Amino acid sequence: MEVSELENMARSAVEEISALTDARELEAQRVKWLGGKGLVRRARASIKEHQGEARVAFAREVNRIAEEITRVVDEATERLAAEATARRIAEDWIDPSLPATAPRRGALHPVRVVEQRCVEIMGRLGFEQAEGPEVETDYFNFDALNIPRDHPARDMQDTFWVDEQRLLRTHTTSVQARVLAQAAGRPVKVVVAGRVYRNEAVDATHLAMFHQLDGFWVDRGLTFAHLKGVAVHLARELYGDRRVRLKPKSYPYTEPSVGIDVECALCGGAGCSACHESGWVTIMGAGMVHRNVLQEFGYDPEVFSGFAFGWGLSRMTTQMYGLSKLRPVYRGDLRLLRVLDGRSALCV
Amino acid sequence: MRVSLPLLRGYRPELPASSRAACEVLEDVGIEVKRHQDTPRGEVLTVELLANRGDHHCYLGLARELGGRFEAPTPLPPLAPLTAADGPAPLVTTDTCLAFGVARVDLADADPARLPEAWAEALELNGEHTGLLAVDAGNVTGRELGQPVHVYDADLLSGPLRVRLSEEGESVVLLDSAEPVALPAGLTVVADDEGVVAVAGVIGARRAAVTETTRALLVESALFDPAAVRRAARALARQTAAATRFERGADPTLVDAGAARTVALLDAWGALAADGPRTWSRTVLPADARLAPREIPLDLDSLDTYYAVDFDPAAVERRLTCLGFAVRKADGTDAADGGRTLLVGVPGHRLWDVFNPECLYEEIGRMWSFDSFPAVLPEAGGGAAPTPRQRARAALEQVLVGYGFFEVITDGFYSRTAHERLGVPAGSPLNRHVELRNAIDRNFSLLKNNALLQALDVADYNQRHSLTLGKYFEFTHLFEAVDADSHRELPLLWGMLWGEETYGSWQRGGQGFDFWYVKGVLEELAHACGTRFEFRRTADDPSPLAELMHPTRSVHLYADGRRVGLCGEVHPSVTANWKLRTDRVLYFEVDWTALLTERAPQSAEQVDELPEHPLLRRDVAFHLPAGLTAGEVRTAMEAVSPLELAWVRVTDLYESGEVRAHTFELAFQNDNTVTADQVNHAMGALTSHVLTTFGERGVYQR
Repeated sequence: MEVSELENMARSAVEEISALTDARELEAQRVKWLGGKGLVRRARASIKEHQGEARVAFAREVNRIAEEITRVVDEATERLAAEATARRIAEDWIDPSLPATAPRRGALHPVRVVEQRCVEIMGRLGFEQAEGPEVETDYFNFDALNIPRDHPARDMQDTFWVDEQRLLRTHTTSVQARVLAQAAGRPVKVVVAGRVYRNEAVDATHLAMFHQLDGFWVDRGLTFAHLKGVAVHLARELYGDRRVRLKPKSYPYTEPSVGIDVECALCGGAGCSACHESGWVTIMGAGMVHRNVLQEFGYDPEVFSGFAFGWGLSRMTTQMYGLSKLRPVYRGDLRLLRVLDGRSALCV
Repeated sequence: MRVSLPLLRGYRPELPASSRAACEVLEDVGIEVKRHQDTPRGEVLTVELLANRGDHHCYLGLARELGGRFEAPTPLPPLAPLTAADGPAPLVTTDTCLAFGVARVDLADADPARLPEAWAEALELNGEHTGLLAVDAGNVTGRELGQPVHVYDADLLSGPLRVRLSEEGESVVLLDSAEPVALPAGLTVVADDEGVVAVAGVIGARRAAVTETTRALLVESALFDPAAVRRAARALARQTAAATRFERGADPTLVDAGAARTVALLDAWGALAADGPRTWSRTVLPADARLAPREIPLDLDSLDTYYAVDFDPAAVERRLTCLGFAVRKADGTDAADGGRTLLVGVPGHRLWDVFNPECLYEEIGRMWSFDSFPAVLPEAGGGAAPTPRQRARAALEQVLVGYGFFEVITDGFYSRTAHERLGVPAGSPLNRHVELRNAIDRNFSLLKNNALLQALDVADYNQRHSLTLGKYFEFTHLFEAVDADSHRELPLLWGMLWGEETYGSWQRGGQGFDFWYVKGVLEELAHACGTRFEFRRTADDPSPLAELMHPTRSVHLYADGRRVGLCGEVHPSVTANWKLRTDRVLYFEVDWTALLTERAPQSAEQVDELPEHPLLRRDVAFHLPAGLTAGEVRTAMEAVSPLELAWVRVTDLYESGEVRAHTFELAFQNDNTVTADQVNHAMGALTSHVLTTFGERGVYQR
C-alpha cells in the first residue's frame, strides 16, 4: 500500500463518517476503518512492505491516519448521541397539567387535627392524656363535680339518660372526676379530649354530639396566678400573639371561674359580626378546682389546689377553619373534608 | 334578663356615661352583656347572669355588684312601715318553706294610680308588665329588690293561708292556663280552705288572682327551698322569674322588706286606700342551718399569693363592705400577724353561694378585675410522653391517611328505623341496644352497637353527591347492652371503601377495591403497632356482625389468638338496602386497643444474617377450584419440600370462566451447593405432591 492510497483512504473515511446520521451506520464505519479486519489494520500490516526511511515515513502516516479516523469517529459518536438525546427530549414532551397518578393521601378530621394541636401544646407543659367512658354515671358527671341533684346547672346541660344512674356524659370534665378518684391523693396533670352529648334539638350550630377538651392540674401550691399563666400561654399558642382577657364566669366545679377571651382577629378588637360587635371571641372556660371536688376525692384543700380549663373542640374547629356552621363537619362529607385538608387551620 | 340602662344608672350613677364603657365594667364584674340596643325609650341591655348569682336578677343586685367596683354603698329603697297583724299567722307545715309572711292592705276605689312609665317599660322588657297595678307592684319589687312577692285578692281566699305539700290528685288552674293542671304529690303549695292558690315560688292560681275589681290585697313574701322550687318548676314546665330567683337561693333578710317595699310602692303611686290596714304577719319557723349567719376568715397573705399581687387591706375591706359583706379584723390578730386576717360576715343575699375563702377570693378577683392580675406560668417540668394509646392511634391514623382514607365522625346513636335498615336477623344480639329514655329526637334513641350502619350512611350521602370513590374511617365507641342495668363500651376503629381510584395510571382507568386491598391495609395497621393479624373465614367462625357481611368474602381478625375484628365485603343484600351505586362495598372494624403493645421487649431480637447467595426461584401454576385456598396448597408444599424454602407465594391469579390459575413462586435457600437438577427435582416432587393431595378436589397443573 502506498502513501497516496493512505491519504485517499483517510479522506474517504472523514467524508463518510462526518456525513453519518445513524448510530448503527457509524458503528459499521468504525468497524470498516478501525475494526480487526479494517482498513487501518490492513495498512499497518503493509508497513513491512517498505524499507528504510520509507518504512518509517509510511508507519508514521498510518498512525496519523488512524488517529484522524478515531477522532472523527469519536466526534461523530458524540454528535449522534447528542442528536439522539435531543430527539428523545422532543419526543418526551408531556402535559404537566394532567392529574397526578401517585396515590392521594387522606386526612384526619379537622376536629382531630385541632385536638392533636391542643394535646401537643399541653403535652409540652406536661399534661398527660387520659380517657373515660362516654356512658357515664351521674356521680362522675354531676355529683362528684359539685353538681348535686336539683342543681340548676343540671338544666344547663340537657342530659341524655339511660336510666336513673347512667347517662351520656355532658362534658369531658367527668374524666377529671375519674382521674382524681384513681389518683389517691397524688398530684395529677391531665388533658382529656372526647365526645360529649347534649339532649337538644340539632340545627346548624348545635349538635347532640360534639367534642370537648379539658385540662386540669392538681398539686401543692397552685394559685390563680398559675391558672392565668397557663391559660394565657395556651391562648397564645393556639391563637397567636393577641390580647387576652379574663372575665368572670360560674361553673359548679371551679371557684373562682373565668372565661378566657382573645381579641377577634377579623376586626382587631373593633367589633364585627363574627364577634357579635364585642371585639372578643371566647375560647375557653377555666377556674380553680372547687374545694368540694378536691375533698370529694380525698385531697386536703388546705394543702392541695388545682385549676382546670376546657373548651369546645368543635367550636374551636369552626373558629380555626373559618366555618360558620358546625354540622357539616360531622356529616361525613368527603368533599368538605378534602377541601378543609387543603387549607391550613386559621385562627379567628 | 333585659335591663333598662337608664334605670340601672338611677341605682348606680357612678356608671360611665359611655354605654360601651358601662358595658365593659358590667362584663368585668361578671355581668355579661350579650346585646346592647338603642330603643326609642332608652338603651336596653340583654345580660347573661352568672348561674350561681340569684341576687343579680334585680336592679339593686346589679347596682350592688357595681358598687363593689366603685366602692359605693347600695342602700335599700324606702320601705313602708307595717304593723303586726291581729290573728294567727299563716300556717306552714313543710320544711321546704323557710320563711313566710303576708302583708294586708286595701286598694283605693278610685283609679288615679299609674305605674311609672320607666318601670312599665322595664317590666315590659322581660314580659312582666300586666297592667294590674297591684301585680305590677309585686313584679317591680321582684325586679328591683330581687325578692319575689305574690299578690292575692284577699276577698277570694277562704280561710287562712297554709303552706303545705300537694297531695295526690290535686289540681289547680294556674294563672297562665285555662284548664286545671294536675299537681304531682309533694310540691310545695300555698293553699286556703278550698285548695291550692299558688305553687310556692313558681306561679299563682286563677282562683285568688288579683283583678281590676280587687280591693283587699294580700302580699305574700316568702323564702322557699331552692331545690323544692326547682322540682315544682320542672314538674309544671314553667320557668317564671320567681322560680328563677328562688332556685338560686333568695335572701332571707329581704322577706319582710319584700312585702314592705310592695306596699311602699303602691302607697307612693297612690294606689292604697288611706284608711285601710297595713299589717304584716310572719310565721315563726324553725331556724334552717343553711341560713345561719357565718363568718369566713380571709388571710390577706394567702390572698396576695393567690393573685400574685399585694392588696391594700383597706381597699379589700371597703369593696367587700360595699358588696354587703360585714368585715372585721379577727380577734387578737392585730398583734400576732399585723391584722392580716379578716373575718368576713356573709350577707343574706350571698348565704347560698359564699362558704369559704375561695369564694371571697372570687369576689375580690371580680372587684379588681381578673385582667389586672399577673399571669405566672408555673414550673412545668418535662413534657409528657405520649401514652401507648396515643402512640398506637397516631400510628394507625398515619397508615390510614397514607392509604388515602379520610377520618369521619358519626353520632353515638341512631334511630330504631335506621337500625331496621340493616336487616339484622331476628334473635341476633345486634337487636339489643342501650336505649336513651329521654331523647328529644327519635334519631337519638339507641346507642349504636355497630358502626356498619353509619358507615353505609356516609356512603349513601357521598354517593348521592356524585362521589365515585370513598375511603374513610373513624375511631369510635360501640355500646353493647349486657342486661337492663349494665353495658359494655367498646373502642372501635372502622373503615369503609367503595368505588374506584386511579392511582398508578389514570390513563388506564380506575381500579376498584377488593378484599385483598383491605387485607393489605389491615396488615399494615397491625404492622404499625408491632403485631400481626390472623385472618379466619367468617363462614367457619360466625359472629353477629358477620351475618351482615359477604359469606365468602369476609374474615375475622385475630390478634394473639383473640378475635378483634372483621373485614371484607358487606353482604350484597345489606348494601341493597341503601341502594348504593357501587357494586361492592368493603368494610373493616377492629378493636384497636387490642393492638397496643403495652410492654417493650426486654432485649432486641437478633437479626439473622442475610443469605450471601441469591435465592433459587421457580414458578408453578395450578388451577384451584373455589373452596380450596392458596394457603392450603402453600402449606402442603412447605410441608414436603426436599429443599429449604425461603417462601412460597402467589404472584399471579388468572381467572377466566371456570379456570382459576394461581402462579406460585417458590424460592429455595441457596448456599451455593444446590444444583439446578436438585431444584428441578424438588419442583417435580412438590408439584406431584400437590396434584396427589388435591387432585380429587379438581386441582391440575397449568
